[in-house]
Amino acid sequence: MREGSPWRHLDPTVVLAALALATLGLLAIYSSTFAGLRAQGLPEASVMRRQLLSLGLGLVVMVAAMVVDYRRLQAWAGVVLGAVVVALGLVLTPLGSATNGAQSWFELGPWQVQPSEYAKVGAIVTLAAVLGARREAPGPRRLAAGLAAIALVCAEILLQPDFGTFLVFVAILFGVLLVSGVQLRWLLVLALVGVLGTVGMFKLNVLREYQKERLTAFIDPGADDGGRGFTYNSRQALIAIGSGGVGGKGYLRGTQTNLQYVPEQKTDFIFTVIGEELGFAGAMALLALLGLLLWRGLRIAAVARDPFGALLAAGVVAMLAFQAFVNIGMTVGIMPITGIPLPFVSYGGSSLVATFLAVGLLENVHMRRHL
Amino acid sequence: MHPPSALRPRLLALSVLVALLLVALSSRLWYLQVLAGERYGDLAEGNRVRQVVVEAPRGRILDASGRVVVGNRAAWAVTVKPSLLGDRRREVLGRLARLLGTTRARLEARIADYTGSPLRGIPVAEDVPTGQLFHLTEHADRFPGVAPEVLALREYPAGPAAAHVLGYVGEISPEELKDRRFRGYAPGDIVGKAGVELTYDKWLRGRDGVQDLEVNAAGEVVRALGGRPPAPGRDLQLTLDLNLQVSVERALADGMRAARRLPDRERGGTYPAPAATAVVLDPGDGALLALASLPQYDPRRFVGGISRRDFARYADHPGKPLLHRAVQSAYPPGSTWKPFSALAGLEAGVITPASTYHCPGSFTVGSYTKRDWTPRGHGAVGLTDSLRLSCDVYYYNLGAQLGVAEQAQEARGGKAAEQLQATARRFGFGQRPAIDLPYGAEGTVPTREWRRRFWEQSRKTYCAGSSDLYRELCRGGWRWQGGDNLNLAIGQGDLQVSPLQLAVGYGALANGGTSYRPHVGRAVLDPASGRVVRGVAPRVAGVAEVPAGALAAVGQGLASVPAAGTAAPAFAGFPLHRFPVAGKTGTADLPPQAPFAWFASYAPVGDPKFVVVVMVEQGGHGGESAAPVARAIYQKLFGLPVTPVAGGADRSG
Repeated sequence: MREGSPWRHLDPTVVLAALALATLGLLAIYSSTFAGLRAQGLPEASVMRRQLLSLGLGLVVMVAAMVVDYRRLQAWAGVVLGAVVVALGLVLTPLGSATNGAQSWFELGPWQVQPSEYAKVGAIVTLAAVLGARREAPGPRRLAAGLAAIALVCAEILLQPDFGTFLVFVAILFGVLLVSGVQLRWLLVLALVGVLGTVGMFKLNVLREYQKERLTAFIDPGADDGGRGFTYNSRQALIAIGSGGVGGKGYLRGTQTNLQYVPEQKTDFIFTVIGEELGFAGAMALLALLGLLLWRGLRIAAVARDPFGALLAAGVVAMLAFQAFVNIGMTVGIMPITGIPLPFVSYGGSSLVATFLAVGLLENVHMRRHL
Repeated sequence: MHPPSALRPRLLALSVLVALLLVALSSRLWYLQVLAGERYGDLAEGNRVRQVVVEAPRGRILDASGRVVVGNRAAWAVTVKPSLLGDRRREVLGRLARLLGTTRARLEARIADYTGSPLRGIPVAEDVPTGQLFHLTEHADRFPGVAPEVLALREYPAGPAAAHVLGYVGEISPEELKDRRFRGYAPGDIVGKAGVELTYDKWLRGRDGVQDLEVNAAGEVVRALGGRPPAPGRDLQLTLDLNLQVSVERALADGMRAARRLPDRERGGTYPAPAATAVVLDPGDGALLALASLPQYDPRRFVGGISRRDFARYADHPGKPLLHRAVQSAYPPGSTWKPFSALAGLEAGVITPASTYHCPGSFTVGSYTKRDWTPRGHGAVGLTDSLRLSCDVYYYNLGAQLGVAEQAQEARGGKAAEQLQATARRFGFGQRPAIDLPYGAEGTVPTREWRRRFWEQSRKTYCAGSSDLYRELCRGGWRWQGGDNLNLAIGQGDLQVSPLQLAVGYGALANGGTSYRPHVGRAVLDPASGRVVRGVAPRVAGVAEVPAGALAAVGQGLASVPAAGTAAPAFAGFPLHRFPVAGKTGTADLPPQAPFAWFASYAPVGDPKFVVVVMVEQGGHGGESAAPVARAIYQKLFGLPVTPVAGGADRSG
């Protein structure tokens, strides 16, 4: 690498923290799936191996996202938004497939692609480009343009409907707006609209019944959920994590995990594996890695050479922080159950690849902070 | 180039926000895992481990020769939990009825009849073919609340024989749970309700085991974790001989049938003979070889929980089939009582083996005339003949003489000796026998004190009555009168004994005064090895002190009864020279009912091995209705061909 090469300014902490989190994820996915796979006579590591493949792809995507100067992305923001809108539109057509009541997947042979995961990164890029176009804080026009772009994407997400992902977009918007220097009253208005919107969606039956039930189950855990088991989910997750105690039951020795008491464990409830088998110590290690990564992300936002870079980094931080908080929060019973994956850790190719894409962008901003 | 410094505070705000989120998660995790970790650990363990109660098989009941009288079998049953049927009750039960080849109404009737725990499924069909069970499991969604279940059922290879001795089992009742006897039992437990099932319950019942299973979220068993295996109940061997028992029951049934053909001259028609009972006892150790009571119930009806309707049918039946008459009922013994009166007279010295009374057809004391059973009378009668011919007047004289002496004692301000009663008590009468069967009757040996206490209890009724008799009883009902001694001497009046007590008393007569505790249990066996865990050793219940020679004199009289006395017609053709039988007929009056026919006996004289007591309720005279049954029982006991029981011709008392 020659003198002045951006690669010299790579922040290794970010990459290492991301890799460490992904490794924890691989271990947890193996633990949560091996017993079930063995019972079905399948190779015990097959699910974990798929995630490993996704991780490989994610690393490639991350490196690719570091190669080209991020500033050139600013000009392509419209294309990015267009691609996102088209992909999210296509997934609503019969080309897409549904799971858990949400029309959110493309089946591509053995691979499933969830465009909404990439759309999160796309939204960050678009928002950062629009709101960070000038040095000064964005005025009403740029604000309106950014909101319009996000509103379009959110509408498509809600048509799936995927309430959890919608909330991630709101969080990204909030993070980027906050850091963009927009007047605080706009933020307050936005927050108010958000609250009213949520209540409105609840009242106007935009949400599917099961999504409402999840939220009601959180508000009133004793309520009869008609055997759908959202309270069951949440209860079993609590038991898994709580029973881990300080030091955990030992890797592959979690009874809640091995006996499959926690539904959706390898995806949304992956944190319960770590909580049960590695205990408070393991959970703290995971939070520390996350904290480290987020701290570096915030630092990158602070040292970015331009507002676009700073907002890009802030958006990534907002996305990761919100997803991690909501995901872990629901497993420990302080947040309602929404289908938001734990970044780096949850099983799922699209989520993992998109997250590494975001890390690549973060690094890109850091690498070119002096150029 | 850095972003405008204006952005710095905003970034700081975002940082603080992110930090707050992480702190919130950390503190929640601290609470869950560090502070409440133990509680959640217990919950996880409760998830993982499921305890299944493994029912211990109940012990079997064997007869003296080891034949299984009560066994166990596993039966596939279909059970229904009505609470799970909900609004699909009609539909599901209709479908189930079609599958089982019955009607919905019948299934509803089984459910309505069920008396057991509401926690259990109600068995609606037993011994269901496997094909139907498979259909049920395969289409479980179409049969909510319906499940195949293995029931451990009592099995009776010998049918209803000895039903009263065996008893039956049922679910423990709330009252029983409070009883000390059932301490340590849990609701839903199956316990003995009658017979040896009740008295030997703690041996017969095993100890249920517990199996810890590791189950996954789907409720599938992943592996067995251990636990405590069930300890099967012990087997109980009875002293009863099943062959003999069956013969005795048959002889009793024949005897009842024969009695029903005999004309009842006083009341007209024939004797109703609705019930009968027999006791066969080994006087040498108190072992009961047969114990029969008719009518009896079918213990098979109690298997798996008796239905309300069946139980009501038994409970309301006029023949009281649930009553174990041999043990639980007491009756006036009639003339079978005379040996004990004779012993009392011999001891008091009012008679000697050689002394005689003139025996006309009636006996008058004061204004009071008692009739002998035959108006012709017997002439001069000694002890032996008094028993052989069952002369009432002999015993009236005896009773009257004792009464005179007692009045003299009282007149002197002393206490009446009450010799008749004292002798009776020495032979175990008036006391609850220490038998290993429940609810043994105490019987009544009336004394002056008993009379007074009874009068105090009933005075209100007497004095409220308007009839002459009641008015007299109100005034003087407390007083022991001359007539009381006469009644007592011939086994009438207020005297009541259970057939079992009479058998024990005759056992003592046969055995030189020594009686043993009667028992039906011989040994508790380990079911696996057959080893005796606890033997029931013969225990002396009492030794009746009687003057030397008195027992021999009475025995001589009793031996003459089947040979040449009131039981001679019944024993006609019986090889008494090889198997000498000593016994006494009895005809107890309980107006307005027809007389109760008794025969109490032992054999062989000299080396008594068996006591046989037979009683036919309202069967007429002892010689005609009870003695023939006893003869048939002796034929069986001595290995002789059993001749049919037919009503005898003897009409004595």
